[in-house]
Amino acid sequence: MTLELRVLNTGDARIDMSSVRFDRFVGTSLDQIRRTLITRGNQLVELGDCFEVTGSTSQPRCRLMGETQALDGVGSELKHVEIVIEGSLGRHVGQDMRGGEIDVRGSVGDFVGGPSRGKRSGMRGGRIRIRGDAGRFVGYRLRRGSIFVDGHCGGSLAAEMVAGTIVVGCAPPDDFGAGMRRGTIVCFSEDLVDDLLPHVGESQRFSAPMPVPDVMHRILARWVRTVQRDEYRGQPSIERASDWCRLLGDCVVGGMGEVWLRRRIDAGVPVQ
Amino acid sequence: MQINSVPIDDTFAEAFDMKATRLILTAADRQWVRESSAALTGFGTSVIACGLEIAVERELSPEETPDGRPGCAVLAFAVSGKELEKQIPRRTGQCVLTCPTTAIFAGIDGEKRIPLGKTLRYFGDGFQISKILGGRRYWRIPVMDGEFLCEQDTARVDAVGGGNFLMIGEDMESVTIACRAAVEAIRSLPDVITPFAGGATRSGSKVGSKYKGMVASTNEAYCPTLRGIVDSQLSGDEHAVLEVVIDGMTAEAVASAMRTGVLAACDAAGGRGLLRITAGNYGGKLGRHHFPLHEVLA
Repeated sequence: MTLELRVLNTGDARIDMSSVRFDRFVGTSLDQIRRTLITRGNQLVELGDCFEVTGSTSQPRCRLMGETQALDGVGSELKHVEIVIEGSLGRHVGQDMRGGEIDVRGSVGDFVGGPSRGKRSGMRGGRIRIRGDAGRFVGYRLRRGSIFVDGHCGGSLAAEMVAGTIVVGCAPPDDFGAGMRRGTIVCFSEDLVDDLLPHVGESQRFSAPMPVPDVMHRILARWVRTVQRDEYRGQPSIERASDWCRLLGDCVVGGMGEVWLRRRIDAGVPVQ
Repeated sequence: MQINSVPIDDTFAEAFDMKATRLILTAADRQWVRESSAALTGFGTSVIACGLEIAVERELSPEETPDGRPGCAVLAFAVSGKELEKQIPRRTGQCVLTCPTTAIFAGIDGEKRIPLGKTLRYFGDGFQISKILGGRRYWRIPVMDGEFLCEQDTARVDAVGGGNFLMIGEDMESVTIACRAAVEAIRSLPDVITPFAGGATRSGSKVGSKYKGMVASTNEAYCPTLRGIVDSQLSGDEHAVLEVVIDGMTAEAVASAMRTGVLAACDAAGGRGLLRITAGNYGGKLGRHHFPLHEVLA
């Protein structure tokens, strides 16, 4: 059985869920959950004022339904619970996340997997899957864990990323990997890659494109396939290493992050 | 008891508690797998002086390995977890990291861990990259053919070492036939290895020696050339003895391998010079695991 939270009509007010620890819900009563304090607009209210709370807390699983786009900060400091969101979410999904899984069956706002205010590092474990699009600063200061965005994401992807893995269904957006130190970005779309590569070289922030390492490619491909299962339709395959190249950077900060780009074999992209 | 007219002595094999691990070694092709595994398992016949008893458990098809390349499973046994922790990184660093195209992975789950990439990563001199995928941590160490990829660590588990049986024949040819049939049959079994060269040893040993510092020495009771001057266990027509030593992940695996080996040996050389099957023990006082031949073969 799963704990089910259905968002009631909240008007225009946004609901800040960053103080909600879903891990603490496991094994507690529904009444206790309803009494949890959250912020709606500029008011402190009980969770039961904004959500219809049903289901069971016996398992570390939770479903969010209804007007979920009004929610910010879902999954803050999440450790081991699996949260499925039947809709879109606002900003700061999975901030300071340490484990567990967030599966958003819609789109999300900015700062997925980032740090909360004043914190140095963002997400440190677990997995976030966005079935739709994401806003700016996906994986900002990401420390560990993985973020999947099936659709497009806004600028400043993986800014100041420390480690971890981000898989996106689009081409690298503006200012991707700025200040990136380590970690991996995998960009599935081959759109714009040929236009992008010469500019990457000019900026001197990333290395020239080079082949992807064979064994890592195999491990990564197998892992991506496991995560995607058969639900990741419409995306090209990661199976063939020859379809991919990678860049290393951000050289400006002495980074060793890598960006895997889909490179058509017949495109004639220069490979080091 | 007789199998294919070969008498089976009413005695038991005495085996010991050991610590074991399994490694999965892969490479770009079968040749690199074999060459790397040969190096990794070299000088790994006996814990008496090698530190480890280590051998290839079986070859793995690309479908069976974590990276979809040809590979093999290697089992290693040591007298203690500490010794295993010392030997595995050392052998992996010198024999697998150095071999072109190879990668190495954990082949067993468990709480107690043996370091792989955890220590080998320092070879990367700061250029190594850690990657956690699906709950497993990998280290990517830049090398001259690209990257050496290895898992952070592997598990160690309690195991059994020193299961054995002795094939006694009228000549070397007959025990060679018996020995090769036995080892070939055991090779197909999971969870066991026969760590000696060709799976057999001619230097069955007893504990201690007349010389100080020798922890083991020749077992004169089974040396045909000493018959008549020592308390020999060999009769007049028994001129050659070979011993198959078996290490296994469980006592059941060792017993199964002993049974499989003895049956194969008797089938191959019974009536063709194989005169007797017996087993090595130390009176039952040293090893916790006893494998009575008649029970194992019942």
